[in-house]
Amino acid sequence: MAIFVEGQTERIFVSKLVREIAGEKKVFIATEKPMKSRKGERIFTVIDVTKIPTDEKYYVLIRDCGGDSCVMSDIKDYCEKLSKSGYEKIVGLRDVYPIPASDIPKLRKGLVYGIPTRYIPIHLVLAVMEIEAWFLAETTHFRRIHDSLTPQVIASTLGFDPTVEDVESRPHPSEDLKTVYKVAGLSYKKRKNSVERTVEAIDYGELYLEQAERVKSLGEFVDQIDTFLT
Amino acid sequence: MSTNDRFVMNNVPLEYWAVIQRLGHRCKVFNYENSKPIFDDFQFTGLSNFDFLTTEFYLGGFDQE
Repeated sequence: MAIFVEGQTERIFVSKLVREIAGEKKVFIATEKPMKSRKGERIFTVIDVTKIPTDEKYYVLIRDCGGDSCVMSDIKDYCEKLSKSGYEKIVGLRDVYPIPASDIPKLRKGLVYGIPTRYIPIHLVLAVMEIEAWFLAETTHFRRIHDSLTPQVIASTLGFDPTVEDVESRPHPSEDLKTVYKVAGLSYKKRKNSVERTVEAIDYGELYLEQAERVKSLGEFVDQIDTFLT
Repeated sequence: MSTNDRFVMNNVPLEYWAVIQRLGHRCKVFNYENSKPIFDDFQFTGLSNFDFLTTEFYLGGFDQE
């Protein structure tokens, strides 16, 4: 399976999520990023692997496309080659933001434009409105970031209770995370150490068993990983 | 400037584009002023600007697929 994501946050989170869901199953994960060759061409280069491949049953490639406008173009450009290399399916993951929520139906319809369907099954998952909505939904992680970030504090800070209300209704969830973390004197920036801190704090059992049922786009994405690993 | 370079195209916003289509001895120009709905709709494809040209989206937008 090849998973195309729009950036670092998604790359770090998806890698962790796949490892958590796969558990003891033999999964090899390679992560790639676009780089410029000497000729100035954009090529994908491996930046991380889980381990040296031996007899793994499942092979997952995570491609960080380096921008939301690159995910669909990269899927279009590489689907034939990936199919010929033995991949079973491609999953694309991108945020809806900055496109407004009212345009989601138009976006869902438009994202399939120009994407070849004859080589390999391609599934597109839209994180509504951003992937940070999934982090927001997993509210237990806040106490692991800082003790002061209780559900009551979060609800009063945001004027919104992510434990029970719909996180997909939030227009800019990454800003919500920033606002909550600021209460504890911490920041949420789309930088590696900041993202890793959040990703490592998440309870993946809670995310998989509870939040995937409650947050539709997360459930769709988890389903894609699940069906691949069975 | 005129270009067919992917990097340049991906870094120039579409509203500054003019796509020239040659039909025999005639040229047709598609730009933001004469094709605004098509140019605006392109964002919903999720594709990069370069693919605005390669998919010929400028010809008719979603209607031509």
